[in-house]
Amino acid sequence: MKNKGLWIVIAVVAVIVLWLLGAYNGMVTKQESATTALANVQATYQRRADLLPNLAKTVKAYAKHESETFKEVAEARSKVSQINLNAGDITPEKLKQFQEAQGQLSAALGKLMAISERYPDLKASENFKDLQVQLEGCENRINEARQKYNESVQDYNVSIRRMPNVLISGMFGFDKMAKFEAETGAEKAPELDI
Amino acid sequence: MNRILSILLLLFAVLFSGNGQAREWSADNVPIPYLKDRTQYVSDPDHLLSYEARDSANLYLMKMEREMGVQTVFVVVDSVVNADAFRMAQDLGNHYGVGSKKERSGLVIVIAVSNRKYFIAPGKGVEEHLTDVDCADIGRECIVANMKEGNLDRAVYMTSKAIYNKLKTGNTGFEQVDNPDEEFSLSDIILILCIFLPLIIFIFSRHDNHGGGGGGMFIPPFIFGGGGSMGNSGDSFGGGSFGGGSFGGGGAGGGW
Repeated sequence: MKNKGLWIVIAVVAVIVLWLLGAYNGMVTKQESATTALANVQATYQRRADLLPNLAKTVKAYAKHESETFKEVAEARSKVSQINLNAGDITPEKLKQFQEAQGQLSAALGKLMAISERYPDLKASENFKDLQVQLEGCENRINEARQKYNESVQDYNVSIRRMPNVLISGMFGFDKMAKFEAETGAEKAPELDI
Repeated sequence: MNRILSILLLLFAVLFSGNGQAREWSADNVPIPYLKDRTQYVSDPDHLLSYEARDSANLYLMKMEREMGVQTVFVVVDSVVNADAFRMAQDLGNHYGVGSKKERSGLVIVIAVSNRKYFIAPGKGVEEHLTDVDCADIGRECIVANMKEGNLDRAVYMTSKAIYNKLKTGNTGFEQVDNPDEEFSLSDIILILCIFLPLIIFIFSRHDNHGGGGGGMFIPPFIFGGGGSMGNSGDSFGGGSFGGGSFGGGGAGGGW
C-alpha cells in the first residue's frame, strides 16, 4: 500500500516535470522566434538607412542648394543610428522611441524624394529612378518584417499568458513583448510610379 | 405549386446568372494548377490568356525550376482583393511556401488586368539574383509596355522569358530591358514577326472560311519560342509541391 502510494507520487511528479520541460521549451522557442523577427525588422530598417548616402549624393548632384533638406536627412539618420532595440529589454516606450526616430527619417526621405518634382533632370535620371525602386523595396520589406514580428510576438504573448504556462512564465523571466503600432498608411504597399 | 416552382426558378436564375462582375481573387482562393500538374506554373482562372501564351510561359518557368531550382507561380487574373497585387504575391508565396525552404528559391508574379496592377516578388534567396531594380525594369518593359497595348499574351510570355534569361545569363535577352536607351534591334523585329505573322495568317485563313466555326489554321503551342509542347489538357504529369520558401517584401510592381 505504501509502495503503491509512493509510485503514484513519483508518477505525478514525473508528469509535472515533463509538462514543465515542455512548457519551458515551448516558451523559449517562441521567444527566440520573436527575437529573430525583431532582428529582421532592424535589418530592413538598416537597409533603408544604408541607401541614404547614395540617394543624398544623387540628389545633391542636381540640387545643390537644397541644404535644409540634406541637413534634416543627416540629422534623422544620426538619430536613428543611436537607437538600437534589445530583444531582452523591449518595452512599449522603447519601441515607440524607435518608431518615432524611424518616422522622422521617413519624413526626411519623403522631402528628399519630393525634391525631384522641382528638378525634372533629377526625376528622369536612371540612377535616381533605380534608387526610388530600391527605396520602395525597402519600405515593403519593412512593412513585411514588422508584420512578421507582430505575429511572432502575438504567438509568444499568447503562449506565456495562457493557462497553465502563466503559472510559471513569470518565474522563469518570460515577460510580455511589445508590438509595433501601425503607422498611418503602413498597411498599403507603396506604389511605383513608372 | 407551379407558381412556387416559377419563383424558385427565377430566384435560381438571379442568383447564378452572374451579374458580369468579375471575381476578386486572393491568395486563399486562387487555384494553383502546379499542385495538380507540375508542368503548369501559370494560374489563369479567368481564362484571359491564350493557350499558346500559357504554354510558352510554362515552358520557360519549367526550365527555370529544372535548371536553376527557382519555383514560380505566375498568376494572371482579372482582379485581386483591394487591387493589391503586392499583397496577393506576398501572401501567396508565404501561404504555399513557394520555393525551397533552405534556398528560399521562390518567385511569384501577379498581373491583375482590370486593376491594371502587377507585382514581381522574388523569394528571399532569389533577391540577390533578381534585384528590385531588375524586377522594375522587367515589369516596365515586359508588362507595362505590352499591357498598355492590350497584349496580355505577350506580357506574360516576355516576362517569363526575361526572368529565365536574367537568372540564367545575367541579361534578360531583350534589348529594351538590358539597354533601355537603344532603339529597336534586329532581334526585336524577328521576335515581333514570329509572334504576329502566324496571327495574321490565322486571321486571313478564318476570313476565307466565311465565318465558319471550324477549319482555321492550327498555331502550334511552341510558336512563342519554346522547345516543344507542354502537353494537352488530357495529359497528366502528376502534381507538384512547394518546398516551404519564404518571401520578405522584395521585388517591384506598379501599374499601367
